[in-house]
Amino acid sequence: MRNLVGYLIRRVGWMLLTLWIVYTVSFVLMRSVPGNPFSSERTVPAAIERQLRARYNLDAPVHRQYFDIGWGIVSRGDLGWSLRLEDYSVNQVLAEGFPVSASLAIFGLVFAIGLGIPAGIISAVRRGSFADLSMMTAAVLGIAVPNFVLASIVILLFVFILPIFPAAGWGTLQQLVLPAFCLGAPVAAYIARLTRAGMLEVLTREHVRTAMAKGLSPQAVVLKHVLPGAMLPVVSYLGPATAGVLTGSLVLEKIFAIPGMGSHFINAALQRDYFLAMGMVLTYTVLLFVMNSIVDISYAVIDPRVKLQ
Amino acid sequence: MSQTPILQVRHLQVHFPFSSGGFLRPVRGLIRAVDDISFEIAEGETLGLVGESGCGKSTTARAIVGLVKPTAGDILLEGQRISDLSERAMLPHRRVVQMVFQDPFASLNPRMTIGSIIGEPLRVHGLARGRDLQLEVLRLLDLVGLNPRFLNRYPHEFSGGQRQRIGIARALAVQPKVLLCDEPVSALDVSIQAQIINLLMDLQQQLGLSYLFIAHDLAVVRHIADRVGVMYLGRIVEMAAAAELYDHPLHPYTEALMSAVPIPDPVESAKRSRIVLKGEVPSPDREYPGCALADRCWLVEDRCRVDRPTLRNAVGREESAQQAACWVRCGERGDSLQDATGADS
Amino acid sequence: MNPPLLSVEDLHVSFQTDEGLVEAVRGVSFDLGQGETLGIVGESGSGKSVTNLALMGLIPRPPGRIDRGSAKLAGRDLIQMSQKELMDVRGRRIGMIFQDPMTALNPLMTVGQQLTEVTRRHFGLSRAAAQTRAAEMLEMVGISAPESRLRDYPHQFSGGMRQRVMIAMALSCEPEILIADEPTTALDVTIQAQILELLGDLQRRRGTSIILVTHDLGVVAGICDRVLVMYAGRVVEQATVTELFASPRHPYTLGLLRSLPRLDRDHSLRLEAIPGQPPDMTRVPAGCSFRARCPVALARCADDTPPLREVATGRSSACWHDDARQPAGVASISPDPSPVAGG
Repeated sequence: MRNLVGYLIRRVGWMLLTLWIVYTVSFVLMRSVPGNPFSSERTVPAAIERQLRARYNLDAPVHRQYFDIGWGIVSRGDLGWSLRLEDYSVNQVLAEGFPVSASLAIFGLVFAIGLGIPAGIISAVRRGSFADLSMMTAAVLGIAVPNFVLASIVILLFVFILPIFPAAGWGTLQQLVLPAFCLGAPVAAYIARLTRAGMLEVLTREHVRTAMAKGLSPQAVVLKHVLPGAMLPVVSYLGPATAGVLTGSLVLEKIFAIPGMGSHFINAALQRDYFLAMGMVLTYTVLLFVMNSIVDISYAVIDPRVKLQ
Repeated sequence: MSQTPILQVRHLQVHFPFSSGGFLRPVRGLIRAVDDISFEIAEGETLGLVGESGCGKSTTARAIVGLVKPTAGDILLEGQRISDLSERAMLPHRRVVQMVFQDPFASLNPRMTIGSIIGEPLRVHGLARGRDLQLEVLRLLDLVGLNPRFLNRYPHEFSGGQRQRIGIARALAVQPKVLLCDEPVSALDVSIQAQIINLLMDLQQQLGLSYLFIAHDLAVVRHIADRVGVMYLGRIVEMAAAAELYDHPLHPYTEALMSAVPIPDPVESAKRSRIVLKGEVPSPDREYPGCALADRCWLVEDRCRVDRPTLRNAVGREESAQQAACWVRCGERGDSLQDATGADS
Repeated sequence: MNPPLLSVEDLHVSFQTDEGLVEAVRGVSFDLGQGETLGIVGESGSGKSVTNLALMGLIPRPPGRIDRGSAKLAGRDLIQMSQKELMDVRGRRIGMIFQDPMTALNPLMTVGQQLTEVTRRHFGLSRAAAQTRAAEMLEMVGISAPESRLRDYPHQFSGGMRQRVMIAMALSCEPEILIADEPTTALDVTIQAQILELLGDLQRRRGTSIILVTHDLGVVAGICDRVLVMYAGRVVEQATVTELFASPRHPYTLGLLRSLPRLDRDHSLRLEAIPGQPPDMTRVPAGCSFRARCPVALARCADDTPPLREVATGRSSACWHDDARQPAGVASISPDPSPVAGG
């Protein structure tokens, strides 16, 4: 327990440091690329641009901006105003879009885990069988096919040929199924392969023979003595996978017309929406840290030999 | 043994630092793998080192060939100090000492033929090339009792005993004077062990080699060694001629170790009384100011926990070559004794 | 004499490997009496471990296969049993401990979880009752503070302690037979002595029959009553421990004993090594498989496999010399070293 507290304190320390670096780097990058938020297709009269700059504090010297914005984030958690979405603060944009993207990601992951792990177990236990072969072929396809291609296929199948699910939109569970499936499919495929490899590896260990020699049923041996060890690589993978799912939903959100964060991500960068871009980058940094910490802790929970560092 | 010993080890220490523990106060410690040991090996002599896992016997060998860096102490080859030479200056000395490992399979490159494995050290040290190299490899194969036809085969095609022969041939390629054999037979089947032991003894006779023979099997060591050092927790607790050591063990640890070795004879086995030491070998990450065995010894006295005993002769047997580090068995004497290194030189 | 507790007859086990079919066990027969300690000695590949895995129904299939034979435990054939029936035998009537206590325990479960698993499975004990039982067992094998140690994981135990845990686990359902497969090979000598002492002591107190598989003749001499010597998948000699060491009958046994360096004897200059090496199990030659290394091989050893036959009361050997000995008086293989040429 003391281990855990120490670990968390250290992680938070590292996270704050990382956030500061990310903040600095993105601040510098955003301002060093050519163009500015107001130089788009429509030329803005100089007077108005001056006014706008003053309103967003962009006329202050760069180092002042750096400290003012930083202070705003630290003291009030205020990420500033979106320069492009009129009258929206970055906090508001995030508050609206993030839950949508997050639920999509969570459903995608739940689906990936729910499908991937059982498939991996069955494949490993029935190694070389037809079930193993077909599931592993499916897994290779799942990894190889990009999710927008998969999206087109499932829309064709389940919207037009067999109209079970709606084509697009957000709000009902039905509308969630297809995008979550497309998002989770490659992850499920990876998980299935990792589970299978992990199971096969653990199955050769001697303690599995000991468990058999105790008279446990094959099911008990697999569930209690093989599966936990086989899950370790899967758990490691889930950290980066979550990040991938969160950021990878971008294209799918477009295809399925989902009002998540995906579209903001690209637009903010393209349109030099300094504050929104910064807010998103910082949010994702925090998220990655949280996910990786959860992975580390789960790892230590499964394997008592692992010490949280 | 009046000449300079071929290998001398003086006050060798190998400590491995480690850190672990909390966030704000990391616990730092030292594993005292080898903790101040001295010994020497004469030309043509076999010194056995015995002890249980973790006693530091393998680390000693690794320190001698430079695989680990000694924390303190000197290593002398043919009277010359090599422990603080640079890599380059070491190179000619490397040839003098070669190592034979426990698991020959792990130490043989699976993608190289036997011929190139044995020839490699010759090439590296620039000792032979072309036809000479070929002939030399054939001679080495013959020397270790392998058929020359095997030249172009790969390690996996050989049995454990044959692989160990290959490992020995490779070690002999550079014409060393000392072989450090680290558990050379413990991975082998009983019927093969004897073949390899015989081979090593024959080679010693033919080539005048010196051996440092490290093993946990006391019977094997008794058979092959002239003198034996018993190690416990990084220290040599007893050093004696093989026969003497086995007939009258002086140190309580030696006695316990010896009595624990199963004898392949039910009659003898039933007659023997076993000394079972309390508990298990403690961790080498602690410092033991006194005797390392103090916590487990049945003869323990107060001073054993405080003062570290050095190797001494038993009282009344001062002329004997048998020495043990034990306050009880090799009692107090006014003067400090010469250590093992100083004895012959 | 009482009927044997376990009676193995003509057991054949083979494995399909990349190099071809390996007949790992080729007609092994033996009996195990109530309360007896039987040693099975042999080198790697002799089939000693496979024999015992076959009794437990733990031969991985494929690539393994039990081709023939029976193993009757109190009259019921283990070989014919379904997996379900075998599950009630394993851990309940036959307990097993393995060579490497470092890997034989599940590193991700506490020792308590692993111990209670057995009694809950076979005796249907409640969690609390199983916990109490587990603590008792740990105490019995000499682990102090058993209640608190139950919460520890295997990596928190030393090698010797882990082997004690394995023994506690294997004995917690009071099995009639304990199979110990090289139980001390991975341990240091002083720890080995402790474990052997513990096994001997438990055996005396509980009357469990033990099958001790080992390559170490010293271990056999210390605690076994009777010994089987295996070579290349067959039993070549069977005798009481005193007889075996006093007058080995089979040339292989004799060779093994002669090739051992011994602590209690002055060492002669050379060990009498057995020349050559065990046969490649994918291509075992016909006839006696020890023939190629045997100093006293006869012409007929190449063609006919010598069967394991009783040569004296309670003692058998598989060598044609035993056949020829009395009538023809062919070169006998007495324990006197002279006729055996050195390696």
